[in-house]
Amino acid sequence: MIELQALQKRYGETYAVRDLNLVFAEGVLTALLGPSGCGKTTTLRMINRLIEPTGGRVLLRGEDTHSLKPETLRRGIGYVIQQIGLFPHLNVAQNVATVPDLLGRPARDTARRVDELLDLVGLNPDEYRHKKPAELSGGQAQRVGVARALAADPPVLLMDEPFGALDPLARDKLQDAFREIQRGLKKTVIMVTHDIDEALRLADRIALMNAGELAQFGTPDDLIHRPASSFVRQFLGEDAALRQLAGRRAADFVRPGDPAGLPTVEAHLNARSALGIMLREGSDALAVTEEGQVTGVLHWRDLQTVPRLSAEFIPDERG
Amino acid sequence: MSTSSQAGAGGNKPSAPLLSPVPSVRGPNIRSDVLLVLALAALPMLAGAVLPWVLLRPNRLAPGDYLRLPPPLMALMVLLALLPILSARFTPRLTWLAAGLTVFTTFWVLGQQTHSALLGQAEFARASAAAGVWLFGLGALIASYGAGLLLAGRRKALTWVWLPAVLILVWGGHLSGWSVLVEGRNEGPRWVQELVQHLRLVGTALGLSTLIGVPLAVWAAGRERVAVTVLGAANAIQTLPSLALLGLLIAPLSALSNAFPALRQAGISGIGIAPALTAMTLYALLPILRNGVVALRGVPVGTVDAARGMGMTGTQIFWRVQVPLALPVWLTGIRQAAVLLVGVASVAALIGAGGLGTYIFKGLQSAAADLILLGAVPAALLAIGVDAALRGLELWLGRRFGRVG
Amino acid sequence: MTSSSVTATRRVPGRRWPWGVLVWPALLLLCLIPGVLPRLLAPLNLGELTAFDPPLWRLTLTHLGLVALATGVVLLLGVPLAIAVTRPRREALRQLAETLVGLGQTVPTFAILALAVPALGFGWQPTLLGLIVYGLVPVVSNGIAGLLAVDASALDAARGMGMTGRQRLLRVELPLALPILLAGVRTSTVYNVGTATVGAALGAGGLGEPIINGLSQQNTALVLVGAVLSALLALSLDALLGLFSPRNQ
Repeated sequence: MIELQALQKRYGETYAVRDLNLVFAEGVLTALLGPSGCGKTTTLRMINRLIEPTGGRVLLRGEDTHSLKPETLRRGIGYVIQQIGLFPHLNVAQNVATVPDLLGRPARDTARRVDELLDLVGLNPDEYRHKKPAELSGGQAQRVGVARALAADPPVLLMDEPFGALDPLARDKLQDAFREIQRGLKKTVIMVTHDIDEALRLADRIALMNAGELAQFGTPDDLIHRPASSFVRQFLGEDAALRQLAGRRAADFVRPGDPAGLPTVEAHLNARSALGIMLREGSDALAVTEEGQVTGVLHWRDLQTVPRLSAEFIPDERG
Repeated sequence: MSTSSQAGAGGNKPSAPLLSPVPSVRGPNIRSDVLLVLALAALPMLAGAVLPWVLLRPNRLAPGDYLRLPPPLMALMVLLALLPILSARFTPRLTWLAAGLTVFTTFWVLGQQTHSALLGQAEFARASAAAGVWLFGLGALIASYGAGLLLAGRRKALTWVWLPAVLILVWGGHLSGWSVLVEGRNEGPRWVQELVQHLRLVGTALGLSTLIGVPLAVWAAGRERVAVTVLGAANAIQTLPSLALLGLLIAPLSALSNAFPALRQAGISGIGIAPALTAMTLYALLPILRNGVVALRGVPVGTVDAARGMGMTGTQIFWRVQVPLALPVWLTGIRQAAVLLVGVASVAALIGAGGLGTYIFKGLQSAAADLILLGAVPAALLAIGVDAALRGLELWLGRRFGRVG
Repeated sequence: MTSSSVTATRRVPGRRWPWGVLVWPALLLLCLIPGVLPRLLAPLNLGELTAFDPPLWRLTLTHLGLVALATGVVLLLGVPLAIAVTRPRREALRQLAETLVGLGQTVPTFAILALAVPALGFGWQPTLLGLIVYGLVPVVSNGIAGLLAVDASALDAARGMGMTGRQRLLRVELPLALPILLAGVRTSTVYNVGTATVGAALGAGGLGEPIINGLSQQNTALVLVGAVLSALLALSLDALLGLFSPRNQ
């Protein structure tokens, strides 16, 4: 979908990004992870040409983005930022409708689309349509920000620390909501984050960057179990595998099986807690219950590889 | 007690829906601080009632006699001075009426006293308002303001109940004996001309400075170093005396016209309308430029970044994002400029630009208080009116563009 | 880490005297030396400058005296006023004060000064009254703003420690409000230098006199003399009073 070829950004003598080669596959959520100043935001902003590269190129569906007008390119790419950047003088519906309006889509279609999107991000359209951004909480505002980025149904979504300014509780809820949305829409998402837990929780692929260069690119499992360098291991930390489990629900690992005699775990608890129960009870399997009903069995060996969101990894129960 | 005073403290809006089913204020709930304001208003009114109300002079320049109110009327005015505070204490719902009555009576007694003073006097005799009128009127207006604090929401308009009544008095000729109106009648069309000239000066200078200042602010706001320089210069120039600035601005013009006689023929010289307009335009440029730069730079970076990331062109970002967000603050600058200009325009009479200042200077030169009032009072009212009108516009625009915080 | 910060504090023993502040007063004094200004303006060929009567330094002193007197009265009236209207349950009084202050900002200076003439006659008296009225505006509004900005928790703590209302005012509220109040005094004084120039039209003397005379006699050189001196006086006072208000405010 998007390919970075020898991408480079130089400010005078210093390189913000140096010789970056990456392929972002269609329908996959890739996290650009790394310490601050590693060039991840610069990379993201070079994709929609908010920053012009000093070398290399960006291909979108095989086409050099440099051949497009920057505005045209950007209108076809969703953009979500940490500061949210809602237009304070426009109401929620007008904010969401910005790009469809720029593209000259008919107002009636757009109005319907706005309602769909507000529903999608979990805001009741009748209640929120006419609110001004100043009346929203941080979490609600960023929900509108996501809806706005999705308004013109762009195949690609760029997100720059989208949940970084939210309090932990709102961040958790919005991450969950976004995971559900992405499960249904399968956009090609590139998300800049410095939060390892967020990357482990949401991303199918992680591109870990350091000092303007790519340190490792792979699935979260690759990075955790097969770190390419000591930097990768240090950055993720010794407990990365546990943190990865903390981001998943026990329900994600359920298989059909015989629950008889097994200790139980509730489906909504996270997988790390399930692991804790196994260790405490000395059992290598748990019966997963949801509202008192046993839904299946969770096995120790399944916790060693974590299922991802992208097409080939998504568990069957969602289809 | 503390809850009731807090409801008022937060502004009347939040408390209005709570209070609207019940009468707006009740006896035991009367706010002690409003009583204090009304007491404060009663003091100048009491003093005013016993001081002279009319200065009667055989002509407009000669010294004259101070006339007090006749004792029965004086007693009545003393009672009237206490009416607002008594009303607030016992029938708070009618305080606005009591306060309005004091303002109206000030004008009514002034008209009645000037007329009776002029009875049997020669044609050139003048009856002016003396200290008593001013003090009583000041107190009455404060009482009226205090009464307004007891009213909520739309009922606040009741504080102005005296205004139409006073206008009817003036219209009906009841105040025709008051020396200021006598002067006004004598000046008649010329006064209107000066008022129009005043408005024209202010309007032209404001229009020119807006035309120049708006693009300049847009240009400066986009350039870090220029913007900082502009803001620094504007702040420094603001400390300079306005009259000095007027003088400094006129000097180059005058030097130009001295050097090039052709310019003088084109009407450009150190005196008249051209230098006044130039100086006023440059003077008004400051707040417009400063607020424009501040407003445009105050547009959140994230908002502009989001707009760019969504594919807006530079022009679209400017018109759809930056202008609507900067407009309220910018308008504040234009309002400040307009109010400043009303003041500067009255000084501009000094260099022959006309306007209401003409009467102030004429009055100062001939020691005729009535002429000073004829210029200064309308100038003051004009400034207040311009300020209120533009404030209303700002509020309306702010609400439209939803800048809540 | 600690050692470096220690040397850093040693290197700057207290606050350095800001010599830059003296630039404007020095220029003002230079221009007041008889003959300096006329010689500087002569090449511009704007008009004739005869000997000044009264001399320029007298005009400057008159001007400064009027402003200083007004500022003194403004402090005596304005500070207690701001304190009085910010006490609890003085809501209505505060609104009245704020409305009057707003009016003072709007009504043209010249109109206020001119309106004082019928009451007080010609001379410096109406100008002084105008300066006091006009000078009260920033002092009262900044005083109110400063006192209202005092953190409620600081006051609560003070009450919790057993301070009386008077002690709270003197030890907590006023010190915390002082920077904003001082900024108001500075604005008031500097603006009054400007207002006092207008007072020359009412016969108050001062540096407005050459400006007014120059304007009415079409002698631009005379205008410039007054304009330059009053501008320098305003800038000098602004710089000197700036010493009392903290930079990062």
